[in-house]
Amino acid sequence: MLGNITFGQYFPGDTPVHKLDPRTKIILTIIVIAATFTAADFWAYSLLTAFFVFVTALGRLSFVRLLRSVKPLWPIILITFFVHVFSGQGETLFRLFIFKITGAGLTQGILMSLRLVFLILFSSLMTMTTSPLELTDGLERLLRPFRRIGLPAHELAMMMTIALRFIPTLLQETERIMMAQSARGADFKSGGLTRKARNILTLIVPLFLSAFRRADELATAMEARCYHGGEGRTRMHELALAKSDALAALIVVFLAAVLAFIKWCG
Amino acid sequence: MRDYIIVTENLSYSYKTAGGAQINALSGVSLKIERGEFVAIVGVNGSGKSTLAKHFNALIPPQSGKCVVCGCDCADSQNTLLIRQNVGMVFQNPDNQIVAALVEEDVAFGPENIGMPPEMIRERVRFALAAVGMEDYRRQAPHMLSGGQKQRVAIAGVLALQPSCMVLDEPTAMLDPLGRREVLSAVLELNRQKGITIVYITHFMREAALADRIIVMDGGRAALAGQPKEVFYQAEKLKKLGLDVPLPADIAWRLRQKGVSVPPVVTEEELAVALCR
Amino acid sequence: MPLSLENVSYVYMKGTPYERRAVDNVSLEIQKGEFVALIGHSGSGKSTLAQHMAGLLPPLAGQVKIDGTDPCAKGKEALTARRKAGLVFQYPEHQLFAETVFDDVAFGPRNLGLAEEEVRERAATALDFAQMPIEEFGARSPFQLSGGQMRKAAIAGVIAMRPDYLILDEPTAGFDPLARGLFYEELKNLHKKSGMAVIMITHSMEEAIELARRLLVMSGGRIIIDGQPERIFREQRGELLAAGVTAPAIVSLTDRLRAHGFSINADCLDADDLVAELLAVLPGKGPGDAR
Repeated sequence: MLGNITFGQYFPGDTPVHKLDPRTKIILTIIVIAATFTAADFWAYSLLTAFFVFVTALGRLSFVRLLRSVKPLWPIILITFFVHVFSGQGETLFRLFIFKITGAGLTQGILMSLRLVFLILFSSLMTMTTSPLELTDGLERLLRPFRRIGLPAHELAMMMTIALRFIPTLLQETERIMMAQSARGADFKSGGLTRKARNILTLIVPLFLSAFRRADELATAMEARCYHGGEGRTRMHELALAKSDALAALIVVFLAAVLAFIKWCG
Repeated sequence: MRDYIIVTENLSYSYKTAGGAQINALSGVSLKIERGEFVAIVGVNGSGKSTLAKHFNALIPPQSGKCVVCGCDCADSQNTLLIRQNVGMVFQNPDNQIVAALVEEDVAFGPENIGMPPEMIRERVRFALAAVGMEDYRRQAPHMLSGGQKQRVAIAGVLALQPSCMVLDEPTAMLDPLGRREVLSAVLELNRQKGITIVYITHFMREAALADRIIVMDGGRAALAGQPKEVFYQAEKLKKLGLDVPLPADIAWRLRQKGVSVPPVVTEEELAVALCR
Repeated sequence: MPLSLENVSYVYMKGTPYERRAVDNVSLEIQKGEFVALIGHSGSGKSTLAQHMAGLLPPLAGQVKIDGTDPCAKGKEALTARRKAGLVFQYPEHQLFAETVFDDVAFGPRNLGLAEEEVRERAATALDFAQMPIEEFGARSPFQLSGGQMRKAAIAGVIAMRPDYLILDEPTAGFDPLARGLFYEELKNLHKKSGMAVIMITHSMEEAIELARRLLVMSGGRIIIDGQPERIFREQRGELLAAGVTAPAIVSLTDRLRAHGFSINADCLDADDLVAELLAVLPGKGPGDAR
């Protein structure tokens, strides 16, 4: 059903990239993406491309698969491109219908689309090498300091954990209910709009009820297993930073420094 | 003095349905469960079995009457966490009690909740998964497992808290015969090898027959109680309550109706031996 | 004309590491009016086979025909064929959706494009089967019924389609013995009255013996046994055990008693028969002896 969506999928592995602490990966990904948004010339993008190739190879990931992760977001990239192209200032290069295309606009459009592509590529690099559970763990740890200003870090992480656990179950259930209603003559593919809407209802109502029932039972089961919120909770796998994390951080900081140098002094 | 792990006195519980009708789920249940015992609770749907079980884990505070678990009064919410560590609970639907997307993460959930050090959690997870024979599946996603395997993971999740008592609420109702056998033999082993007190709620009389003692619930009351032999001897009463009787006990009862004197029996072997005499 | 399967095969998640063969080259034929039990342990392919029979899942290889027409094809004829088979899934109460019991049961008949009068008549008959008279239950919300009633209302929703072949996937899972017994009585009556074929998936040999005249045993995606229940226990006990199907309690008890030297008939399939046999051989306790 959702098999061909690559964006956000985890590919297990045993490479140095996989083994990095999820916190390191989250923070470094943010730094690299920020750096991408400062990059504005050919050399900067060459460097970023080289870095991307390096990490992909180190993580033994397939380039094709990574590039495929950009696919679902093409429309957004295209829209961004045209918005920038058409709203550029400066000397007119040529005209297209009512639009005037400027050199600055064209450059800006290419730049912004490139940045988006890199944003997707680098986030995919992270999600493809980090299991959803690790990611949740890392996020919870990173958000912990913000609890003091009222951010429910633990609750958010628990919600993500439960969502990860139940998405496959609910997908299986959707398929089953769809078939069951088809057995009673429901048709989800053809028919008029009202008929279609009514048929969708026969799917949505049972699914909602089932989700509520599951939530209710799960809450009871969690309570029975001593769950009482994040207070005083420990974790089986404590995250621990290693030398490799320091090394990765060094590499990324160096990369960011070079990019900054290119931008402001180059 | 006998060491009782669960004691209820005159325990009652009622609630209103969405339609506004008053339902007396429990009316005046008094019972005692000894440490190390394997007690089966049977009864038709709506007889109050599950409501009773939820009191043992302090999921429901007593409305009237008393419920004392491991010496702690269930009415005092200060005791709740302690009671839940000591009395684990396994539910009917294996899908709706597994929290995490990885087997070992799920088993670790309970120990994590009580703030156990990570080192010890890992040890407990290993122990619990080994006890139910699921150690090879620790890195699997729960939705890829069979019903019996999921239910064994749920048992491991409870076991990781090292409770002295485990309450299982129809753990085999949604499983096939193979899954039922898996779960039942895991539970039996916990009782026999590890000395864990078991309260086992079921419809299946063949499973109840393995218990040390059976409590039959009807309309919110404990209608019958005793060793399987004694309980199944009253086949007529059980049938009236809408329950089965294991076949050997049923045949013995039918023979008695025809004037043959047969002592109380549970197993095939017991019946055969009794008839040989 | 029958419901027939010819060399039907199905594989889940083909081409992935999780590939699993569910149905392996199954051929069989079921006539109208038969009562068939389909038995086998989880993962033996029973549920997938049921979906093929109902025309809901096109097989990867082979052919399904309902009264001579492929139900998985496109077009009006296939649709008609598909509607001749009604499948009740496991835990069917989870597919209830309407505001009233009547609307839920009427969903199928309305999809058939029937006039409202006919829809009501069918819903009423179907609810009669469930022993839930339409006057009393029709206007109630299905979500405020008891668990057993919800299940029966959902099954009534399929029966109201008046299928020629009614396929039920473990209809009594989770029922207590009392509810189970009542349900089977109702199912037997329905079968007798309607003349439809009933194909019931079950785990229990006892139920198969009590209800069905024909037993299909599935293992590893294949039908390994197809015959009369009584004969199967006599002639194919070894195959049954190999398929992981537990013999009914009465068979193992009879065996045990025979092993202890009681010369009783090995083919007892009924508690009454066994008691009669035992009375005849118990010394001094035969039917003629006064006690």
